[in-house]
Amino acid sequence: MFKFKHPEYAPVHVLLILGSIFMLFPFIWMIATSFKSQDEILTTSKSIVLLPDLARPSFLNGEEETARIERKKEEAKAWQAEQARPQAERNKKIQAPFHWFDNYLFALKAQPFYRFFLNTIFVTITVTTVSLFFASLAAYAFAFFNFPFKNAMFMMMLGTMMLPQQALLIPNYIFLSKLGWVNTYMALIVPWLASAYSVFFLRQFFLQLPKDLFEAATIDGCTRFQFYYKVVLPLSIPSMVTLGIFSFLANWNSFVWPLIVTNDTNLRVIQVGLSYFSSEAGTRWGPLMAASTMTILPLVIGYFLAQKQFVESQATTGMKE
Amino acid sequence: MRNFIIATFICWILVIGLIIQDDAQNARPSDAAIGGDKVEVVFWHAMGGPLGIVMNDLVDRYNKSQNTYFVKSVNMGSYDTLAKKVLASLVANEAPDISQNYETLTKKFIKHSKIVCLDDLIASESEDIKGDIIPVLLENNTFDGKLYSFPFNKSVPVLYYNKTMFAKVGLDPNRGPETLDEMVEYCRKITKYHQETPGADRSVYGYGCSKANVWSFLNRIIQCGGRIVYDGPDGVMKSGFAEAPAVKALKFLQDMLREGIAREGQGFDHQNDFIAGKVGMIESSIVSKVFMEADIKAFDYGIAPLPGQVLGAAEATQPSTAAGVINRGVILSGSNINIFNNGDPKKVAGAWDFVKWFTSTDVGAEWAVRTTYLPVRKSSVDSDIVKKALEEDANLKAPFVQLDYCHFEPRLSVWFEIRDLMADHLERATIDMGPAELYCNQMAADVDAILKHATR
Repeated sequence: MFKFKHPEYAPVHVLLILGSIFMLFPFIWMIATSFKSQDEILTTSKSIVLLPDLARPSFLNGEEETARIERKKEEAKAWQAEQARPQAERNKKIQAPFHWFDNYLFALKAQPFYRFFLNTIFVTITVTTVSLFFASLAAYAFAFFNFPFKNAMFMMMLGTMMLPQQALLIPNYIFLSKLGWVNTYMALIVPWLASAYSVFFLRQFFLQLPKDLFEAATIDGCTRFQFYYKVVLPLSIPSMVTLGIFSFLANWNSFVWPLIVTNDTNLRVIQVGLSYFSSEAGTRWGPLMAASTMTILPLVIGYFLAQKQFVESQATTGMKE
Repeated sequence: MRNFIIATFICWILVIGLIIQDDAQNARPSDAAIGGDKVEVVFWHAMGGPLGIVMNDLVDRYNKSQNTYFVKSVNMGSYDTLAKKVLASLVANEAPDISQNYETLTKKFIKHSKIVCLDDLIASESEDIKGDIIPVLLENNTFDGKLYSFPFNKSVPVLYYNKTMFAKVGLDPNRGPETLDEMVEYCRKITKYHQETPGADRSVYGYGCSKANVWSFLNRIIQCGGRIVYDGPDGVMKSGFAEAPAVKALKFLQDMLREGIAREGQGFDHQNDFIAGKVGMIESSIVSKVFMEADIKAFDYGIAPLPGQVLGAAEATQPSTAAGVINRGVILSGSNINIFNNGDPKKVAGAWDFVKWFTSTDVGAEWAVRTTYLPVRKSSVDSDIVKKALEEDANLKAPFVQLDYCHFEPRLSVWFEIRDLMADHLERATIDMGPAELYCNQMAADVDAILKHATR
């Protein structure tokens, strides 16, 4: 017999479940919309009816849904009849019936999403790993060593965080143009290899590590780099993972910068590809939701694969020992 | 953690390999393979979706039709992004050879000598190109008596109406409203039918529009006999937003919303509402037809010219308006082509050759028919391609009818800034629903403050 161990926690669980549904609803809507035709997306009378026509049990169909399904069946018959005629005589206004995967096919054909995915994965992994490495080195120096103008340099570095990206867009573009990097992978990767936020974040964590550890290691013959590599990095894994997640998401979702610095389609990233479904005269919701689902899927899969590390990093962040 | 790092590294190497393989599979044939050393002409545009398909098709045809130039067309996604990229690239001296731009940007480019004066290129042509361009489009692209940009994808607003709904509520399904007063009556009838008929969808309105729609407001001002920007007696530019026609234009929308016979949405919601059968009429660009028609399956729809307004003698502020006649007016939308002066005469020649081809009589007609943009040339309007298209689809006639009373927005370098300001005031007007004069006066005051320091 199923028993609640702590029935007094039931209201909390109910609240959390409701909150989860509330938070998950946009994703559920997105996935459901990706399997619907455009007229179905726009004409459903019950805005909370999520299931596409093709998957909805008939007892859930209202008058409008039934009429639409019947109309689609008639259109499918008309299209079949047209296919039996010679190509030149066919009525081009009669369209092929909608299949559940049509939005995904359209999205994949409309833009080279395969290439966009490869570019995004390549840029994101490169920027995340290299920026973590550089940030940890810089944070290590700021946390453990004293050198002339250390505080001033740290403040200047923090000051760069105050500048909005939009203000730096054109100066950075000009700089890259002079280097000949516009429309290359270098423009997508190099500007993001140094992050003031990452340095600040890691420095704050490193400051919590006991200085005695450094002195003891030095006495034992450890060089500065060995201490960084053998002591500091292993102890800061939770922070590095947290920062890595932020960096990964930020780079995966990056839109404005890749759009500005790339011209060729084979250098574009996934978020730029998504923007092609919205134009000055309308948005194709079905393919846009299909493309969005494909964009989020790797992140979701990656999260479930690395879930253990994420949970551990959240649990141990802030702990000194 | 070590395994995770190793797995990430392997994934990274794999992705690099796949990118290299993809590059090898999709390598563009070299110019030598195509047939000779072609001069590459880079063309930046914002034609996406169905419009992009037509654009790419025509660019491919141009490239195959001759052996001297190769046009590389790059879609920037939206006009806003395209403008940002063009400005950034100009500063970095990496501008494309051709791009689509609005008139406001063209003025900036002229001021900094970034674009080629097309009169210089046209001078060597045997054909009377300028004489063949539709007059309002020619005027729209002429600055200080010279042609600095070429009309490319120009459109006009039209009225889309639900014929099936019209018939259901007792209106003539083959006739859109001719006047604004008639439009209000139609809206009342549609809304009332759906509110009072048992079983009818109560969420249906007569008219749908998007919030803070500056283009729609400007069209309405013209229809009410007003003016947008004019030269004041002291030589300083002033706006016409505090005048009676502008107040009437704003009040018209407010009254419909207040009465509950119209509904406002965001962005393209009004188009989606029309497709969904939630509104009986919308005003939108003729180009929206390309995006909407495949999804309109549950009803029959029509396209009509925008309604006008019958003006009294006291209301007409423009001398050309005859009191008592339906005063109509629409404002052009869409962009033009600029050819950038990048210092390479071969690329300039290539750019002009492409623009000339794209806007030629037959190609221009095909572009107009497939995308519903206006043809650039008078000869395209009279061509068999357009005539046949109009016979096959009566819905394409409305834009051509409206060519006779087309206007365009002021071509000021501060116009984008003014438009943003107007949008803020229009949004407040339909949210707070105060007296229209209040918002119009405030709008005029703010706009005039900007115009005071602006030049034509």
